[in-house]
Amino acid sequence: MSNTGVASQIEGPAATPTHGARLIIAQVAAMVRFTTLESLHRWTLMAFLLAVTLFLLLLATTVNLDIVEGNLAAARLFGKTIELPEVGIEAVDIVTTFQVVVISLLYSVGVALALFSTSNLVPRLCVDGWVDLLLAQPVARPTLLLGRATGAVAVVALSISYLIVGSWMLLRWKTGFGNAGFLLAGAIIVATYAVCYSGMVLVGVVTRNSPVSILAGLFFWLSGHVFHLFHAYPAWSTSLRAGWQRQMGEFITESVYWTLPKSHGLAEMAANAARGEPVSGAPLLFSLPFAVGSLALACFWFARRDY
Amino acid sequence: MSIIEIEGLDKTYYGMFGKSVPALRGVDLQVERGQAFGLLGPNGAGKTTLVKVLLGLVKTTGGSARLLGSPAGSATSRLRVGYMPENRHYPAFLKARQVLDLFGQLNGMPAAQRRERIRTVLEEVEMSEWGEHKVGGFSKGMRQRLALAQALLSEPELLFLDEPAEGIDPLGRVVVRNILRRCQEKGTTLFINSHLLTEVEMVCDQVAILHAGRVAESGRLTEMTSKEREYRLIAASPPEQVLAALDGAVESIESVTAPAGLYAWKLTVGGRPQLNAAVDLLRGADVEIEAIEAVRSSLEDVFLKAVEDAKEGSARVERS
Repeated sequence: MSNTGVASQIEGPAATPTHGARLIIAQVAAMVRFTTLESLHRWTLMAFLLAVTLFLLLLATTVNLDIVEGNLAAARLFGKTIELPEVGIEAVDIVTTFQVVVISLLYSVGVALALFSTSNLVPRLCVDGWVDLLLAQPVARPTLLLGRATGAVAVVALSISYLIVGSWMLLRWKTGFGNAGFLLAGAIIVATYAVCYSGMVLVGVVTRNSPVSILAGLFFWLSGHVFHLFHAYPAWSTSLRAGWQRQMGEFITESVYWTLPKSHGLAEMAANAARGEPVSGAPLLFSLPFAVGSLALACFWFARRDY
Repeated sequence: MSIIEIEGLDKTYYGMFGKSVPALRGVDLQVERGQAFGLLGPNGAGKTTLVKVLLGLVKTTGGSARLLGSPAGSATSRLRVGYMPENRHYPAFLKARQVLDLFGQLNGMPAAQRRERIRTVLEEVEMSEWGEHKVGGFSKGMRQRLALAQALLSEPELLFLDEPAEGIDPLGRVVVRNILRRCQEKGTTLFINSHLLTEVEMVCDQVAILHAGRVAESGRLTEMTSKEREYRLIAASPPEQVLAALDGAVESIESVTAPAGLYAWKLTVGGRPQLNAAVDLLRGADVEIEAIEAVRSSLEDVFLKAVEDAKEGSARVERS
């Protein structure tokens, strides 16, 4: 009896082979598609997309800016003329200020919302009666898990891109000024999410518990800011009495700081990019070991576990 | 060559505090290509664990298992295997067609081939009109049939079915049974894990009974259920004529329930020659024979006896 799937494609002379790298790509694509479909049935994502659509519509229809030689000559909001100060306002400043506000909101609310809405994707993958069906297919366990994680990041990236690219295009249309740094800031926010999400994947696959997963994701994200304070202001250790306590305290906080994602640095990166200032890639670079390590551990655990 | 070869398979689950629970203890089994194999056993006997080991969902702690010539659980072996688990938890938001499409993609089937196979398997399980409906609204029987469609999608050479008739109505069972028969006719090997003995009896030709992680009994169903030296004789002639003809020719004769207008006896004979001699005597005495058939015990009798023997065996080992 012939198998019309991969088996026959490997064995059958007439069939088109789908194996090796092509098979892995097809399997990852299947998981990404499945994860996207699942996300589209979540109220959080739908509410976000709806809110962004309303925001873009308002921006397109209610804000009118007249730019003359790079300066704001007149502005109307909801059809009403806004009185402008006598000091000239440059279009670049308006756009940059607006974009920094958007990026700040996106970094705080957007990342939290993204972590929340994708927190149960891995635990749901590991549900009995579903995970065993998936694992019984000719797919490697790491492929399945990484496909799921890629799907989550893809959904978040598309959602954030919708807001970033949409508002960037509208502002360019209205002011004639396009700040490429704003687009880069959007990419940095997606990267921030991806780094924190990789930690959530590890916690999700080990605990198979959505609430624990979301708490872990928020912890990885926020603790980066907290431990940055210890790192940036080493004088805090002088409050400890004994010398060994200071040494121990500094060792622990520095170890944790270098292990966790560099959330603070990533936030600064995004803000700088939105302002059109030079951006250092160091926070992203130093966050990568956390992401890669978390995903490697998650794959190791997933591959060894009985289901 | 056997399609499934299992030798001395052990699986022990370890709890958080080092507590160990042996699920399989030295299981030896062979399933030949084209067979319909039934794995029976009481709850907790290790049936599901054995299937999961064969599919690579659970890691062994000892022994070896091979599927289609490849180590059990390898991607190569899973390529040619279909699996219908006992608990099916399909995401409610997916449509039946989307479920099948996902599994087709994971099996590396090209888009055109997927479309065709999905259409075919939905027809086979009599769910063509439900392809565009969400799984969340399906009844248990429909989910069961969808699971079967998913297992059949890649036209597997070996089909694992964990409790395929569990929780579905008699009509649904007939549908499932007919599909399995068609699969067997096409040459697919069936491995059915069930505690519904009547279902296994109707589909399988080979069975193994698992008890406490060990194979208590295995063999061909017909051999396991046939009772040695016991036959049922149905005749149209009056009882006294039959009894006179067989006087002293058989070891025992006992009257049993007969169809209307006929007479029936259970005969115990020393062997086939004695049975043939008895038939000669009956014919010599002009007894009108309607039928002679070997008496079979039900699979339930065999199952209960095997489990009882296995329990006694375990108790003896513990005592000694």
